[in-house]
Amino acid sequence: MNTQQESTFPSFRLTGADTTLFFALVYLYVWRMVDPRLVLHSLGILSDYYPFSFHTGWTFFREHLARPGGLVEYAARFLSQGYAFGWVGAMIVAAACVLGCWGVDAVGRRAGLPRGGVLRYVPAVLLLILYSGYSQPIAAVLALMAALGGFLLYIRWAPRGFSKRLATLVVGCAVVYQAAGSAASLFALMAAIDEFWIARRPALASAALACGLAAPWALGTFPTVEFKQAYAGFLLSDPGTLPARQLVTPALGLFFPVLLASLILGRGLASGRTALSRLPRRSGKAVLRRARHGVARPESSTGVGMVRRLTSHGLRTSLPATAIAKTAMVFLVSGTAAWLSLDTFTRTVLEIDYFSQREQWADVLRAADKLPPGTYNVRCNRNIALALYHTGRLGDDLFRYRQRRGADLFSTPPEQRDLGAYYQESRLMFELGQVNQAEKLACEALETRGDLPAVLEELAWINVVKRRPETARIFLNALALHPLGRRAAGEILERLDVDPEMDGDPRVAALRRNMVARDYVAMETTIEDLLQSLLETNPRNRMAFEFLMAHHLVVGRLDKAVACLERWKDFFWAEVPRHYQEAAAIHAQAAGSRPVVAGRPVDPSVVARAQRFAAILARSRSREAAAADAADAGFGDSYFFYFTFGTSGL
Amino acid sequence: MRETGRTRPAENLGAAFLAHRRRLGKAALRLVFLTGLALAVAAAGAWWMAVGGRPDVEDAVAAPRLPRINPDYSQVVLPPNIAPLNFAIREPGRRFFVRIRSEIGEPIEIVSRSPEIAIPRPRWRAMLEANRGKPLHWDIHAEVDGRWNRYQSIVNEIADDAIDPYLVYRLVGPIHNRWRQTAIHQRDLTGFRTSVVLDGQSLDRGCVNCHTFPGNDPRRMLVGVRSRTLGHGTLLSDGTAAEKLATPFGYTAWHPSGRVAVYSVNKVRQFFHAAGPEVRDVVDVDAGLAYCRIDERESKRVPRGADEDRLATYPAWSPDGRWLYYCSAPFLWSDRKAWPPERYAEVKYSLMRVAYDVEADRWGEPEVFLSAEKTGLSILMPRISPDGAFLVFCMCRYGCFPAYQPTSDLYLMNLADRSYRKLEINSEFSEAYHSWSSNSRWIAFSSKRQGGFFTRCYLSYVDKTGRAHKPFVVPQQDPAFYDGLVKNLCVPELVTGPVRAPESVLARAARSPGAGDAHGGAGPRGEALEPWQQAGR
Repeated sequence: MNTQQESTFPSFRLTGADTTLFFALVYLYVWRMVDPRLVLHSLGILSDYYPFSFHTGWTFFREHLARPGGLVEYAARFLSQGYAFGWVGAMIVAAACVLGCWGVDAVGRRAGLPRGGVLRYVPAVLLLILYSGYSQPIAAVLALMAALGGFLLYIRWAPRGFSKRLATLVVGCAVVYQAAGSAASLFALMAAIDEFWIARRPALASAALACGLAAPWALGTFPTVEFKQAYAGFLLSDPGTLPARQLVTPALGLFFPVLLASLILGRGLASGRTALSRLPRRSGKAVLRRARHGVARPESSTGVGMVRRLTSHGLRTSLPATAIAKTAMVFLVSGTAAWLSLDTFTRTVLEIDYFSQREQWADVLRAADKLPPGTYNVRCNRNIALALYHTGRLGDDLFRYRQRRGADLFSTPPEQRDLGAYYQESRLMFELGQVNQAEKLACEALETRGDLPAVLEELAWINVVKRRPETARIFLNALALHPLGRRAAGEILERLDVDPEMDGDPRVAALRRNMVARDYVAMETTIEDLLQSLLETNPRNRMAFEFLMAHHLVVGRLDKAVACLERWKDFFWAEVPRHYQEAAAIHAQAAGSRPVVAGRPVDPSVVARAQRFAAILARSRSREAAAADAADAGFGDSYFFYFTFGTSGL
Repeated sequence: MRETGRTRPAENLGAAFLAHRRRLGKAALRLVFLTGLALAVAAAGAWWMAVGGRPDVEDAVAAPRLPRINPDYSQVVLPPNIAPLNFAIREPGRRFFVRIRSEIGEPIEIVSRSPEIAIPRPRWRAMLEANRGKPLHWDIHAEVDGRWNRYQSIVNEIADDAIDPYLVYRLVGPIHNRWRQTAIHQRDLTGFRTSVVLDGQSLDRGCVNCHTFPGNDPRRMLVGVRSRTLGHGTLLSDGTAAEKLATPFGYTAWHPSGRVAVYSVNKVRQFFHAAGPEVRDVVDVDAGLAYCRIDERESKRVPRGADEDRLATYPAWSPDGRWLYYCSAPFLWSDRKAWPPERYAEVKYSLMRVAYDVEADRWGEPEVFLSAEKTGLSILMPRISPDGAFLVFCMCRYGCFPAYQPTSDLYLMNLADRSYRKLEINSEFSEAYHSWSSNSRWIAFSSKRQGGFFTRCYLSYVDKTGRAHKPFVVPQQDPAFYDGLVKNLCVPELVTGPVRAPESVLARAARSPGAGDAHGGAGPRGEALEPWQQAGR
């Protein structure tokens, strides 16, 4: 057994039920709790899509091969596509965690310590923290693994002779730089640590550091790339790491060199400076052999005791009960970290948007019910309004959800503007019939966030509606380059082949009917004018009507809402929605007239509720007490409540 | 095995290691040889499967029409030094056979199972070179159900006159308010090699625009740069060196002597149309002309080029350097803060010119060269051919920015008699940003004719009578290149060679603090203005 251990330096075996169980739990957690589909969906909303856009074809691959870091970038883009399927995405994350664990084992062994211990789970926990916050650090992880892999290959295969070793170092650094970009600095750092403290070759250590500094220069990127980007880009500005978890990625990247240095220094401190300096120059294998035979492992010292406590595999040396307790502790700490770092609010927001983009309206509303009470978010509100409209409930249930006076569905205030706001606004505008505005907004999304398949498809449809089939084809051909967009692109292209203007498509025909006809300077108009112009073009544009009504109600313009209800005759609905009736009742009460909606009397039950609400207000001593009483009485989702207290959804 | 090796006495280790390496070396050699052989056989098989040898098309059925090909390279005049016009056949077929022939030399024959035809470059170049001034025939055959169809021959013409070998252009997305990736690229027109001149990414996602050269000389160049973090300015490259001037130039024209550059200072605002084919529109809220004596790095106003009551933009020099042409329009709005300005859709620019003595640095009195009242359209972007014979300009219904005007077309004026006419090469979409080759026989221009949305660069032969021949899109190695490209290739400038200053030098200069004063008070109203501003939300 001992011989076997010696022969497999560094050992890449994963053994033990605890390890298997740990990664199985990681897999399940990521799949079921984080949901990798939402991680993919967040690209273009929480972070840019540019770094994750993947095209099929040799040209795209060749472009990446040609630039430093391109190989890792290509792999990151490719793997990101797998997140479209939750189980595949979870597998990728779990695999990254496993690789991190192996990396710790290998680095630990290099420092002369056996595999195992709690530290081996640290990279996995850091990754879980990142993914729980809906970051996508796959590029940083791959870069890190490339650097680590390069380091391990270097220490394993580099020749002993100075000049040959130096040449290997230079070539290794160049290769790692070409494959993983700025992660080469990490490779160089670890090689320097190893050469200085383990192999005891200060000259090579200096050479390693020099290589790390020279690689961006030599490969000609530094002059065109910023300094920090050239040397520590993947640590400092990983495109997939969200600001809230910005420190975790550098922590993950620096963990390995810090671990290597700490273990060596820990041993050095333990054995004393003189003892360390007396040690002959040797390879890492020799260090390991000495470590295994106990030569360089002074058990009694405090320093090494700490190192061993952190790195040795308790199951081998301790009683089963202690081992189980240690393992349970690892699981507990990891699970707690993952659980506490799970951003449930972001998850719900993304879930709502995910379903909305797929027009699964019932799921949108189901997910919206999970939003914490009182939460206001423009993205959610827009999606909820769309879902309510498509399920025919906008006039009945809008105020069941949190609304805010002064906020609207058509523009996003700067403080709430996420990266995907353009695309979401574009979808809304397009559906309403403001096709030019939709085009403008979709182009902004394309330019600023990248060629998201959904944006490309949207732009294709916009151009179909605008009778520019050739341009639509360009967008569809671009979409077909995306593995996740190929099928949709193919289907639409086939339809364009048959009917280039798609005159026979009912959805296109409806959009053309609604498309605003009168030109004016867009985005300099009010929301009211924007919607009115749509109703001028097509008085039966039901969506424009309902959103105009929603707008009047949200901003509290009852006079305009009641006037707008005159358009009721253009639609063929059996019942007047609840909120419209509530607004008419309030308006009539204020005007002292009979409550009427589009020539019909308001439902008596609505009138009765208005009277009950008025009674609650009359008997309450303060505004706050009135709001609480009204909410308790079930008015929190009514327009009465919103109109009076400026909030809803209670 | 490994265990045995490890227990071997130390003195035997070296010999064992060498023996192991010898064994490994022989095995590796064998493996490499066999792999190479297998690959060669596979490649030969694949080639045979793909091509299947030269077909017999003597008894092919004649189809009484031209074949559909993409891009449209039929009935065009080609420069004798142009890269192969690779194309895709848009006809049904299981196999395709293309014969390209002219009067001198062996025809080029291509057999392909793919409809995408890649023409071998050496043979193409030899054929074009040997047949200057002669027709070039493309015979296209397609095999359908085991029978060959032969379409009518596409007849192109090879011009006597070569085109300038490099095209410098801007590569940008369909930008509205926000930009992220802007870059200036250069393309070797005799081949397919493209390289970056300057990428906005080097300027912290800044914007690079308005690249201009004195004549068609790539040794000197001016490029506008704008960056939120690194500031605005203009890059001046001279040979392999570059520096940043703090002054942001707008539309720029080098004096033929290279000693002076005239530029516009524009206060541009953009807005968006709620209806109509083009969403974007641009108004020059204010615009005037200034000039920079390059050696002194000193900017001054062009007298009368920055009048209070007129807008002035798009400078262009006559080849002898004695006249500066530019476009000018009156302000039609009294309230300069109102947005959009009243009557913005009635603004029409006239073509003006003013005399200049470069030695004395003295300007003459402006004169109307072609009045918008006469044409009824807005005259923009004048560019005079290097031989001084022709002036090509854009005209559109109104406004200052032809790229956003679907009505924008190219017109050619014969400077000998000032007669002008609309060129034959226009489409229903916007044409703009034309550039002459140094021999005055070719123009490159931007056009949105591929669907009305994206801009591509086209080349057209202009003969000695001023007739422009059917344009063709700049050829690409992949014939489907433009079919899925969601970017604009625009502002083409023909130059006689590659830009000398390396990208790294330009990037470094762009990141440096600019030298010199901003306009030196030469802005039209003494304001430091940006050539482009964001508008709307």
